[in-house]
Amino acid sequence: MEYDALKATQAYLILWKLIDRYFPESRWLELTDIPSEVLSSRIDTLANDQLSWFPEPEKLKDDIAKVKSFQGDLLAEDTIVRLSSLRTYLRDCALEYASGLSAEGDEPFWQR
Amino acid sequence: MQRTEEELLGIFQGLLLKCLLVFGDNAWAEKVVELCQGDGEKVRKVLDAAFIDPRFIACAQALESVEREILSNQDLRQKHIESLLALRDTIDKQAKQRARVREETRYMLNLVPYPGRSASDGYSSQTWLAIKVNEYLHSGSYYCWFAGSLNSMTNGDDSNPIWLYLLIDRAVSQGGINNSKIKDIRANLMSAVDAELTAQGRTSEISAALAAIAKAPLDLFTPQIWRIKRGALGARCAKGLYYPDEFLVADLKPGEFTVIVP
Repeated sequence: MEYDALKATQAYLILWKLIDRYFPESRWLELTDIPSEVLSSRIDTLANDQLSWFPEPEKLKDDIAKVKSFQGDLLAEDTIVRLSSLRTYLRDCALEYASGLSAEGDEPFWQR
Repeated sequence: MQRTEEELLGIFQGLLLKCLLVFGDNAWAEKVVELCQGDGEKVRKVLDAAFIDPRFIACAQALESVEREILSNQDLRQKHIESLLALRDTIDKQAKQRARVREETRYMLNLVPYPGRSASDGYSSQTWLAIKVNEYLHSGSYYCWFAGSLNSMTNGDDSNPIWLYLLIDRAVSQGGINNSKIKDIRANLMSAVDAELTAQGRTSEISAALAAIAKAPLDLFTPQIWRIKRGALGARCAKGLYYPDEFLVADLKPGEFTVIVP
């Protein structure tokens, strides 16, 4: 299957947001309340996907597993440090895959 | 230098006039002008009247003493010229001091007690891009976190409107395209767009909207500061869980805030 930049972006946005939830200082930047069940459900869907639309399915599978391993954990200080690093990595992945998205022929919404 | 009686009387009248002006009584000053047209007896009447005002006594007594001597003893004129001049200096100093006191008092009178900050206001820092995404996702309303104070002392930095404003504004002004806060904002906006458009069934719009945010130039992250009519929000305003001075309104309307720093 062909690489799907949208799916890749969405996957990493969801993964990032699940980890970002552990950092309450980020909530002032949010524009909506995404219920945790919605995120968890989408993660589960991803986990059951073959990920054939992603160039490196194993990498994405690993990242999904890492995120799932943190869910519901009580966080020790060293865990928070690792989590913070993972959060930054996932965010940067989401931004990187989004840079491959095309907005061809479409005016940005802030100019409409 | 010998002075004529007329000159002495002129000096005396001038002193008296100044003395009255120092004490700020315009009616007296006008009366002196009227009475002291070279007539020593009239001047004496003014002096007598001046004793009625206790503030005036010391100065008036000195003037009366000098005047009496001048009028009674021609030989003392030269001596009293010096006295009069010294007295004039004293009165000049008093006049300046009183003027200074008046000026200080004027300022003190303006120092009314600080009325305090309005408890019915709230403050939020919003980037231009967040405003536009908000309008795109929630037509006619804004999802908005805010604090009761612009510089909220009880909240953490990330929940302090002025801190957020300073941080983001500096990042934008200094070309910080890779600034961590800018990246966090971008990712949060993309996350909101993905979640909301999916929930609203507007899936065909997601790709273009995400691409637009991903490629949004840095100046679209320019922050504003809003003053929110918190008192008008009522039950729509929810208190945050982490800090005592943070609030969330999920549907802030355009008439419920003012952009105070555009």
